[in-house]
Amino acid sequence: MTGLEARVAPAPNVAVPPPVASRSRVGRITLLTVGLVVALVVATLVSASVGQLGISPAEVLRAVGRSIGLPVAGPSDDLVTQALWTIRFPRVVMALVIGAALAAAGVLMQAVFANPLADPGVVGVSGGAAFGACASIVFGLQFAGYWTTPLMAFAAGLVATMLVYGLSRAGGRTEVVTLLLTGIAVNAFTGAGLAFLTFLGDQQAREQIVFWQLGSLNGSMWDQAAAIAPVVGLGLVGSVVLTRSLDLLSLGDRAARHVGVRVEAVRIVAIVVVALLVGAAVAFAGIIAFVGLVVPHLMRMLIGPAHGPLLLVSTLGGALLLTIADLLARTLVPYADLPIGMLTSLVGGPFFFWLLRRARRRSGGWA
Amino acid sequence: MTGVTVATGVTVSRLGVVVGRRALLTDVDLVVERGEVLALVGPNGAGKSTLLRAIAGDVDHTGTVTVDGVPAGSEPPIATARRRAVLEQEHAVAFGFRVGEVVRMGRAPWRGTDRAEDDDRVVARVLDQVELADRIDQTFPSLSGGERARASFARITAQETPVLLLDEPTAALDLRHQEGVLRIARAHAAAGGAVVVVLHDLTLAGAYADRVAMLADGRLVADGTPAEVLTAERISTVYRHPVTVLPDPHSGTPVVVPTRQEAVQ
Repeated sequence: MTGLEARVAPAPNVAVPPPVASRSRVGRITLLTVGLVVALVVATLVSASVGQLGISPAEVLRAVGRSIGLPVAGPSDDLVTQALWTIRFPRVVMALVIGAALAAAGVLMQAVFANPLADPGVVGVSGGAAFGACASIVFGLQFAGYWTTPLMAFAAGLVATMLVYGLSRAGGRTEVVTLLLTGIAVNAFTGAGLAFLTFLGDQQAREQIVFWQLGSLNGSMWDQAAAIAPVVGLGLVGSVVLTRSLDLLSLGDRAARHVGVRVEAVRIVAIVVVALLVGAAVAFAGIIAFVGLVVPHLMRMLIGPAHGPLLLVSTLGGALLLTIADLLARTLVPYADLPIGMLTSLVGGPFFFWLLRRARRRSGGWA
Repeated sequence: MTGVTVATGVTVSRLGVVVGRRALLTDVDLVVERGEVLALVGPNGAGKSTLLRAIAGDVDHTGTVTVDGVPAGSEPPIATARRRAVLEQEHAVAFGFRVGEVVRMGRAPWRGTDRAEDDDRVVARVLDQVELADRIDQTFPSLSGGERARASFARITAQETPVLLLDEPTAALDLRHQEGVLRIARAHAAAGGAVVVVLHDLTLAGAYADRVAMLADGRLVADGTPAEVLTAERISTVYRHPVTVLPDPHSGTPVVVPTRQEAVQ
């Protein structure tokens, strides 16, 4: 190959420093990953145990073991087993899958917008997806059978993402203020759409719309989990493929292209993946805001911004956060099932405010 | 000049760039051989950065541009990224990547090739060259403006491409590092590379460039050795400010001194 002679001779006294930093960072990532997995297992067990019907973690493990064919000793209670498999487990699985999807979508959006404040809920993607889902309910759309609602959520989420993307970018970057104002505009529009659908719908449809807007895992079922898990899985695989290019995107569009990234292709794939993840998350559970904002942020503080590890720990962290949030939603008030979206916004709102203040202080404005 | 089998660094012929109705560049012809540093000079808005961007493949244009013997835009971005590296005027990095990570991003085009084995060594070398070896673990946004410019310069030299396109690499730098960065550019050319560098400081251009190309209103008005191009008469006309050109007492290269009547009074 020609053209490679241009390498400048190395300076004589340059010693290659041991990559101490990267090693300590690898240590941190490993530690955090292991910690999150352990926390996730514990939270899942606790979440499956606690509820109106108290079930001990040992019983939960026995029920799981028995169903996968392990010879488990000990008493078997049909009522417990039934409660676990028809009510608790699907709900726990939905929390895991949706939490992972939202956090991963947050990582992608922040990378695509080169802006740490991008969140599917804040910028209106979740609202758009919810609008699509509600439209399918109110108008009784059934063109794809059971998949109609998730499909509509995906399509509307995609439109909303494209809209935000097209409206808020200038010169290869997105300013915080433009992004947030675009989010306000898109949220206002989807809000109007949801209001219109509420007006149009009958009593039952209205109840469902309220449910979307508040966000809840109440009434989660296996077939719902089965519907969204493959979509989220596909979205996560897509995200993993993108991570290296996402790192380079943080140099800005032009500089990323200069090091060989097909910027527009990466962007479009990322947007479709975001719409897939958010559409799947919203399809059955409604709007659960701020997970995509809070989780990647905390993880970035702990292990730095490199998107490969960030995606891994954020996915775990999102699943953990939503599992805990759902546990709280079910148990904070006895005999009441609080909307989980309300809880995440309750925590996420102040956190978002703090981030805004910090961003403003750091960059001396709305950079 | 390099051997016969080596492609020319950069060729530009009959280049035109129009944005909206405004012609930013008209009929520019330029050749940069391997082993050469070419300085692009000219007043604000003359089209220096536009020319550099056209060579980098960032703007639509008429006419032809080749880089390392290959027409611009005829290859996938990854192949182009192995031929030329581009230093932009702005050096922003989103998120708190560390300096070492940012510089390593310059190695991205070589991922999956044999040359990826050099990554650690190259990153250490280029950081040492710009005197930032001790900042390798610091986050990029926490650097000063000049340090960011040097780290970005290190990133594009880490790309190890035959052609370097530098847009005002010395703008944010102190005297020592201005000289340092241009010495690295010179060494790159001496090792067989081709360098196109936009400079505002005509004295720096005179000292470090083999050739100087002067632009005014989107046209090439002069192209030759520093001594040929940087004459008091031409600079005074193009920049619309009187200057004196003196020989440098050590090297004899042209030193451009603006006439400052106000300062005398």
